[in-house]
Amino acid sequence: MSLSQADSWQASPAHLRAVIFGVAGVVGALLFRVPAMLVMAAPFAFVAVWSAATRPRADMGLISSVSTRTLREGEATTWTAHFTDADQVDHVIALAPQRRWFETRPRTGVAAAAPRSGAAGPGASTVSVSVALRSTHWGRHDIGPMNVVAVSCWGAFRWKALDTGHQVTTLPLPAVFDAAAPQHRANGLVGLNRSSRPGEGGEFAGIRLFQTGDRLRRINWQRSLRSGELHVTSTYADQDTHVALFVDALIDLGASEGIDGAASSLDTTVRAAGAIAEHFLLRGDRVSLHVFGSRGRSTVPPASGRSHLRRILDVLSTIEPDSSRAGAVRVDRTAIPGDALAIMLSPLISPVALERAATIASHGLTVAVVDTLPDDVHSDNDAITELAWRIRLLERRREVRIIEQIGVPVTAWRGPGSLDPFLREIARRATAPRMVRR
Amino acid sequence: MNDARLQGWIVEVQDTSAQQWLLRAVALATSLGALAAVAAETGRWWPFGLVVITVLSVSSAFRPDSYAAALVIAIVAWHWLAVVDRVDTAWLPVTACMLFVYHSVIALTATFPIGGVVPAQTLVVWLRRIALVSGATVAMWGLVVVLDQRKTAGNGFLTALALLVVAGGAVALRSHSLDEQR
Repeated sequence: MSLSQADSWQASPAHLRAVIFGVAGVVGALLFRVPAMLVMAAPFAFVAVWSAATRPRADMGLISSVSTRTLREGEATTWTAHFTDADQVDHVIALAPQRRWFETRPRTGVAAAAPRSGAAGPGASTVSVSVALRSTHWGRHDIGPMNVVAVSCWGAFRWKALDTGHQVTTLPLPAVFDAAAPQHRANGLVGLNRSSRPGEGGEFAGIRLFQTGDRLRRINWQRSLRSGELHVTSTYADQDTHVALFVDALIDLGASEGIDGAASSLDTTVRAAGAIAEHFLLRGDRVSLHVFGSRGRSTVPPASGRSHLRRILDVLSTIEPDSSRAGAVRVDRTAIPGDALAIMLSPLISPVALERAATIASHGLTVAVVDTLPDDVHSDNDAITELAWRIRLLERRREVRIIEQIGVPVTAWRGPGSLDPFLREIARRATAPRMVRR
Repeated sequence: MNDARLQGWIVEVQDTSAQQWLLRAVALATSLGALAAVAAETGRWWPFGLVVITVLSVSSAFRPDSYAAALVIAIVAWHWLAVVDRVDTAWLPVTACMLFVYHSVIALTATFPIGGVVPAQTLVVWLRRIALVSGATVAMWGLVVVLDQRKTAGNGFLTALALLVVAGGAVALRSHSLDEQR
């Protein structure tokens, strides 16, 4: 339910027209003895009397609601206005304003409905009017204000109300993503990935002599009978990975046309972050989120499960780019354990993201950078702007080369398999010694 | 005309629903039909009036809450009284009903934004009402014709009584029409 501002019932120009022609015609016919004028004025007089006799006396009650306040991109919700005390109402009309990130049905945003007669007597008539709204872009959006008009018999009286609307949260629709590469080495306690340490799990590690505390069901009887000593089958622990997502929200480049059109750099970043989070969370891993360069809440601590995915998508949906916060970007090193897999998503236009990636890598974390710059980001025909862009992109290429040289892989976001090359590389490098700055 | 205004008109035309186009066409047809009924009775067209009524009707169809609709009704009624002023012709109720339908269609159009579609239930109700009032108008015409043929002399008392009844009705209308809070 939302606040509404309602006027009282007001006479319409149509009613004034009927009254003027009805009264003036009848009076003129009598005074000037013009019977034709009486015939001309008769229907207007009938309508004026009819309209006045059926004028609604009481203001109506209006309750508005939306069917769903949280949507995914491309999903629809329904705004409904429910009127009570609609006894003398002919029809009601609702007009939804055209909003950038909403498609309405009816397309024009205008919906009308006629009342149902009340079964319980006077005052029980109700009428509801609905407008379907499809959200095409992630974020928090206001629907409304909705103009609502109720009309009496013959369109003679109108009752107007302004519904202040509702706020709807549209969660980003994660892009399609999958990774076929082996997972990062994990040191957690539970999960699906094979740990480097032996423990309770499903993957065979070896056969060793029985030790105090081993479970009896682990005893390998064949080996024990052959050797004459008690042996057990050992396994690697099934453990989880901590994936730390870093999202660069300092800048949004390129045209954003919603879920059905072109995606800006921030659209790609947010949807890719959602996709990666969904992929790892559904595997049972822990995922944390760190957004830099955005107003409002910017951090989600590590956790796992479907409800945590919702928390991450909630924070992603509230991102508002703010380049003025570039200087305030700090990575809380203590919040990220040393065995975490850090993935930074950025269009790499601001050097801040690469600096942060280098900082994280220098602390010994495994870092990968996902480049989310759209292919057709520049569409200005101005020659100077074109030249400036070319220079910036050349600088960007140099910055990417430098960070790759210090061991941080950079890959463009291409959906499924985007992370496979450096997940394999990470798995390979996990076995090699590393130099860490303490 | 500036570009923004022209652009607004283009958008308005694009957004107008098929049903709203139909309603506007009916409004134009009924206003011109009323003028044609006068022409049918007199046997000649009124070219200047045709142009004026067409312009005003189109204007009222797109701005139904303006004074254009009232002007259309006033001009056609005045034209009938000026050039015909008879009651014993069937074109009189035709003209009256045409003007009434025009008024009703404009009133219905005024309640809907340009992209709106009138619910079928509402359309049926309005058609029934229009038929009922049109029938009453024809009945009124029949009564007037009968009274007109009796050629009775004027009666000052009855005229004063009728005026009083009309005045009382007007006061009652006013009290019902205006908001008590004003």
